[in-house]
Amino acid sequence: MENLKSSPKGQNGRISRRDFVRGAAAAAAFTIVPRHVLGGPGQIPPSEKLNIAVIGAGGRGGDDIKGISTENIVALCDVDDRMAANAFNAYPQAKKYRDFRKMLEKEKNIDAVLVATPDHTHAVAAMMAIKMGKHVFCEKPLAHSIYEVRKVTEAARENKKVQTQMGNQGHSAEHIRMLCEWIADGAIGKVTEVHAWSDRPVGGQPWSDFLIMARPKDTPPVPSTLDWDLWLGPAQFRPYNPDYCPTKWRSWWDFGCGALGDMGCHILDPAFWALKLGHPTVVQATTTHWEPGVSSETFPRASIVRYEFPARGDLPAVKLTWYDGRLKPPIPDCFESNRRLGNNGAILIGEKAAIIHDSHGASGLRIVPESKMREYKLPPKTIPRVENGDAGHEQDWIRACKDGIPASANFDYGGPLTEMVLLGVVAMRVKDQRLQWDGENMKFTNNEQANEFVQPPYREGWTL
Amino acid sequence: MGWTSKKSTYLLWNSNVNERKKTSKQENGKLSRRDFVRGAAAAAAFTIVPRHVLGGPGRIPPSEKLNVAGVGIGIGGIGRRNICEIAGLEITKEGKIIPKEQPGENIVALCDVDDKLAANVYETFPRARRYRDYRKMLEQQKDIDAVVIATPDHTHAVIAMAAMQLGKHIYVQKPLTHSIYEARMLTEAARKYKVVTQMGNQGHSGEGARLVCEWIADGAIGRVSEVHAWTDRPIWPQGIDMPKDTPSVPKTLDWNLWLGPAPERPYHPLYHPRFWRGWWVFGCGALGDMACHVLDPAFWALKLENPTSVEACVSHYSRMMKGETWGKIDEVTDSYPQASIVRYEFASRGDRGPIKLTWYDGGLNPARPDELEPGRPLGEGRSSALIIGDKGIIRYGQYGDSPRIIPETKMQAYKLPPKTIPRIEGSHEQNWVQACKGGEPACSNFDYSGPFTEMVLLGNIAIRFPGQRLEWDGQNMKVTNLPEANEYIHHQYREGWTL
Repeated sequence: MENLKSSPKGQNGRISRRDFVRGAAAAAAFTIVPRHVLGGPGQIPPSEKLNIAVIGAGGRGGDDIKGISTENIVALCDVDDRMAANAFNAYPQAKKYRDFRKMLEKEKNIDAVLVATPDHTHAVAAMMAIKMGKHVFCEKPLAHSIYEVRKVTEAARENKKVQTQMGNQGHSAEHIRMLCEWIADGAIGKVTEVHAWSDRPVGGQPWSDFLIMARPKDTPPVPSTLDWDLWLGPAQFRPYNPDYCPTKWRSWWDFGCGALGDMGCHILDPAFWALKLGHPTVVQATTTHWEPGVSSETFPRASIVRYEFPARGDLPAVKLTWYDGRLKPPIPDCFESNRRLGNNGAILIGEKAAIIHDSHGASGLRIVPESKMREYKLPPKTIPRVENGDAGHEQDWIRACKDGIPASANFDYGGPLTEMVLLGVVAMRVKDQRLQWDGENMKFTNNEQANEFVQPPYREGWTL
Repeated sequence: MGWTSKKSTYLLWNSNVNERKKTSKQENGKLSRRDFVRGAAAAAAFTIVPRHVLGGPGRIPPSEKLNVAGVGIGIGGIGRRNICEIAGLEITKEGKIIPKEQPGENIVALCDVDDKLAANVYETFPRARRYRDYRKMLEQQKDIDAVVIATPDHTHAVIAMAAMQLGKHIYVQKPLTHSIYEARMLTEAARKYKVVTQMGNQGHSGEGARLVCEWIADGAIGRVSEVHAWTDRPIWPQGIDMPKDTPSVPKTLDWNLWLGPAPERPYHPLYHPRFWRGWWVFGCGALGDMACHVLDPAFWALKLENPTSVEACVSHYSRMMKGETWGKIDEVTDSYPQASIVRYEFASRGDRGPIKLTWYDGGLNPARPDELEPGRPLGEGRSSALIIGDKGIIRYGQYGDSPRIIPETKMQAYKLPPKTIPRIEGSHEQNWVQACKGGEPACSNFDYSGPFTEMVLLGNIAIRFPGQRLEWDGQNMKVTNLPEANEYIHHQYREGWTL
C-alpha cells in the first residue's frame, strides 16, 4: 500500500470509503456513459469494450484470456501455432500473428495487451506496448532481469495513461488485504523475520516440475508450427530442443526464473506488501550442486536465498529467507505440536506471535498459535477490495483501464516485487556470497560478477 | 566455561575404557605432564619388556607386534589405508606402497567379500590368510589380537560385536554403526569386554580439534549458541529409484555375505562397490559419512550428547533427469535425498547454554557470516563448520583442521590459551595401536564415538520424517512424540543374524 502511495499511480495512499466501494460500484455507476463523453485518449468508458491483444496466447495466456473474455479479443499472437490452436479457435475473428512487433505495428485498434510469454520475452513485448500507449497486463515475474523490470516499471510510470497489472493474481485476494491490515494493526507485533518456501521445482504437475539437466546436445528439427527464432527473442541463440519449448523453459537460466521466479511473486507478495519491504540491502543464496555438463544451466534442485532489509520508517529491519526444492524453514517455536508447514507458504514472525499463510494471496492465513488467532479482534477493513478477489485480477485491470484508477498489482508495485525476487536469482548464480545491493542505483557494490547478471546482453537486433 | 576448573573433556570421554588407567587419572583430575607425553615416551620406555612379563589377557606389550586382521578392506576403501598405516606401509600419491622406517604390526588375516576388490591388498600382504566370511576368520584363526573393520556401514556392528566378544581390540570406520541401537550396544559391549576401541574419525587425533576445544573452553568466542556444519557430499548417487534390472552377481563377489544382516535384495552395481552410502539399508548418506568428521570438534568441545530434539527438511528425489516421469515425487525410495538440512537442539549443559546445531549437505551452505572477510571462502575445504558465540565465530575444516577465529583480526588479537589436552603422536591408527599395547585409551574410543555416532544418526531418522520435530529421550533411546520414528532406531536383521 505504501508502495502505491509513493508513486504517481497510487495517489490514493489512504483509502477513502469511496475508493473502497469503487470496484463494486463502478459498473453500476457508469454503465450508460458512452466512450466519446469521457475524456482523455485511451480512457474507455465502462460501457464500451476494450480491444485487447494477447501475446503468448498458448499456455498460460490461454488461461488468462478467460479472465478478459468480457472484452473484444482483437488479436492473438503466438510463436507456436500448435500451442495457440485452442485460443486461435476460440476467437476466430481475432487477427493471428507470430511476431508481436508486427501485430502492434499493424493493428491500430488495440487498447490493451496481455503478455503471457515465457519470462525472457516479457519485457520486450510489454515495453513496446507501453511505449505505444497500450495498457499492459503482464504475467509474473514481470521480466527476466532486474534491469528489464526497472525499465519497464519506469516506462509505465512515464506513460501515465497506461494502466498496468502483473499477473500475480493473489494480489487481488481478500486474504492478502487482511494480512496487511493485521500487520498494520500490530496483531503480531513488529516483524523481524520472514520465511517462505515452495516445493518447486517439483510440484508434481507438468507445469510445476522443472528439469535439472545439462544443455541438450541433440538438435531435433524445429517443428513447422514453431518460429524458433521468435521464441528465442532477445535471448542468445541456441538450437531448438523440446527441453526448452513449449513447457520446460522455466528450468533454464536463459529463459525462466526457476522456482523463485515462478512462485516468489506469489508467496513473497504478502510480506512484501504488508511489511513495505522495498529494496533489500543484502542478499545471499546457497544451492544444491550444479556441475558443468550436468546441470549448470538449469536452476538448482533446491536453494535457499537470504535477504536482509533495513529498517523502514518505524518498521524494524527484516531478514527474509526463501527455500525451494522442498526445503523448509525450521519449525517455528510458536507451532503447536500437530501443526505442519505446507508445501508452499510463508510465515511472518513477529515479537508477539506469527502469521502463517499458503501460496497465493496469503490464502489460509492464520495467527499462530491458534489461541492467539481466536482471541484476536479483527481490525476494520481499510484496504479496498477487488471484486471477486483473485478471480477478479484480470477484470480489475480492465476496470483500471476504463476508470483510470490503478489496479493493485500495477507495475509500481509488481516491478519492485519482481526486482526483489530476481535479486535472489542473481544471488543463486553467484552463490555463497554476501552481496551488498544498492537498489536505488541498481548495482551490487561488492561483487562485479553479480552485476553482470543484472542486465544480461540481448541478442543482436533486440533492444528494450 | 572455565577449562582449568573442570576435569578435562579428554578424561571425561575416556574414563571407562582402560580400567587400570582410570584410577590414576581420576585421582589426578588434571593432566600431568607425564600423562601428556606418555604416548611418545611409551615406545622408548618399554621396548625391552617381553610379552609374557606384562599381564592382562589380550594386552600386548609395546615390544611385540599386534596381530591385526582387516575386514572389508576393499581396494579403494579407507580400510586399505588403515591397514597399510598399521602395517607400517606408506601409500604414495602414485598409489605405490613403500615401507616406512618404523616397521608396523603384523597383518595376519584379511577378509573381504569381494576377491577382486581385495586383490590389491591381498598382494600387499601375501602372508595374511584370506577370508570372505569374517565369522569363519574369527572362528578359525586364533592368533588375532585386533581387528580393523572398514566394511559398508550396515555390517560394522555385527563384525565389531563378534570381535569384541572374542576379546579382540577393534578399530571401526565411521560412522561407528548403521543404527542408533547398534551404536549403543557396541559402546556398552566395549565397556563390558574391556577391549581397546577406536572409531575411524581420524580428525579426532588432530591438533585442530584440540585447539577448538581449548579455545571454546577459554571463552574465545564467548557463550556459544549456534553451530553450523556442512559438506559437499553426496558425491555419489542419491535421491534415485531402486534399480529394477538384476545383473548377475560377479563370480568374485559373495553377495549374500555382502548383504550380511540387511534384508535380501538382488545384487546391483548401484550398491556395491561404490554407492552403498546412498541407500538407507546399507549406508548413512552424506550425514553419516561426513558428520562424524565435521561435527566432531563441536561435539567434543560443547559436549553435544543427546540432543533434545531434531528436525530435517530434504530436497526432492531425482525425477527430473531427462526422460522424467511426472508426478511420482512422493513415492518412498530407499535412497537418501540429494540434499538435506538437519536441525538439532541441545539443552543447556553445565555452564554452556542451549545450542542449535544445523547440518547442511548436498551443496547447501549456511549463511555467510557478516564477519567473514570479502573474498575469503566460506569453508575451509569441501566440508566445514562454524561455531557461533556471542563474542565471535570459530571456523574449522572437515577434520577439525585449520581452526580460525573470524575475522582474522580477531584471531590475531587472541591470546592463545595453554595446550591442556594431550596431543596424539603419530596417526589415528597408531593411537589405537599404542592403546592396544597398554597406552592411553585411544582418543576416539567408543565411550566418546558411540554417543557421538548416536547423535549423528538421529539426524537420519529426522530425514525420514521431514518437517516434523522429533523429541528425543537419549537416555531411553526413544522418540517421545512420534512412535513410528522409533522403528528406525534399530532395524530388523535378516534371519540368521544377531548382534
